Amino acid sequence: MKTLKYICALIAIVFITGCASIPTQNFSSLLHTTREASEAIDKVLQENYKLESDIIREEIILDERPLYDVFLERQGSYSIKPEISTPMLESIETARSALSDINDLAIEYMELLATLSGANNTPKDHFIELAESFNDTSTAITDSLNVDLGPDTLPTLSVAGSEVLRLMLEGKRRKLLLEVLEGNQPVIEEYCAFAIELIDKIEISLYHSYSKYFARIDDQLFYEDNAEERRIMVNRAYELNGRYVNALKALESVRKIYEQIPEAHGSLSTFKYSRGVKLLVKYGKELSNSYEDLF
Amino acid sequence: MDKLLNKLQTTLFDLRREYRELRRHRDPETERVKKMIFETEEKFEEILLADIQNITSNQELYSKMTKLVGEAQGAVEIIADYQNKIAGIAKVLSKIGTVIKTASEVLNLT
Repeated sequence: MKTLKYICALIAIVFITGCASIPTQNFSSLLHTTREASEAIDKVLQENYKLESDIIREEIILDERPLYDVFLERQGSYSIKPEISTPMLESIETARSALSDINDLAIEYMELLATLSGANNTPKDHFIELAESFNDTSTAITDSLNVDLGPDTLPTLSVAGSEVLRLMLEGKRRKLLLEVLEGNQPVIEEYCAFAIELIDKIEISLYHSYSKYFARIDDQLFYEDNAEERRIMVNRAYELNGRYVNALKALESVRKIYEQIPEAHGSLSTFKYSRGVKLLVKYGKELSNSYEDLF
Repeated sequence: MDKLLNKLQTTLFDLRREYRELRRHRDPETERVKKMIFETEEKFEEILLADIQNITSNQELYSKMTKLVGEAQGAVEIIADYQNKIAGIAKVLSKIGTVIKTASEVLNLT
């Protein structure tokens, strides 16, 4: 009978304190997909950089660009420009470094959110430990007071005790999470708008590199009569097309992810499996599929 | 900036088409158009660079993001502290139980 009372009391406490614990899966999904999107953008930019470097090499070979223009530029005593540089290469590097810096900060924030939600902890172990500790305490007290509470009462008591402490912690955690999530929603929106703006420029840059490269292959093919050489050139055009399509697919998935992040972040504060998180996971999977073919 | 980039992209597209046409007819104008393509490409790339530099010079967003990380870090520290306090309470309760047990054993002995 007493055991039943304790169980009822425990249920009441759980009910009053707000029942559900925080669904840590949503926080992990947001972190995972953002990390994946950040890596994919970097890969696309590496691909863009490689395309541009290859075009420059071609231009030098075809005598369309002097070697000196690209390599040798004295920048100060004992130093020359260490790497090849053109406005196009510089814009790719600028976009890459900006996105890398801001994405690193976003990922750090999301890692902290995951930790704060309990996704990076092992709270179960912690509370099992607490329950055992409570069990020992209760046994010690009842032994000393020489009270017989029945065989099930002590474990129930200790579980109830640790559950109360767990709920206290969860309550505090929820309150802090809500403050962080709601307070930072506008910054996350701004961050994603910034990333999308840059992604759109990367798409333009990628298309420019691709069409420039393609036009050069087409030009060489026109003046080439040797069948074997022509075969090599056509294969290069096919390969180039494949690289471009894969990079474009990855970029499209990444853009969709950045479009969903604000909604997913906002919905974390409702502690429900939201449409935002669901879509984020979906686009993350799409990204993983095209990602495999990227390089 | 976007309008200018779009315009140059369209110009490049048209010039390349014109170039292919002239090349097909071995027209002496081919080289002139090729030069125009290079010049337009260069202009396009300079504008794209300026555009990207303009977007990425948003220092305000970087400081907002840094602040956001700081706030989240602060909240994680508060929770860790709270968790330690709860573990402390459990330890204290456990000790009280042990003390009571020991005291009653001592009393029984006396």
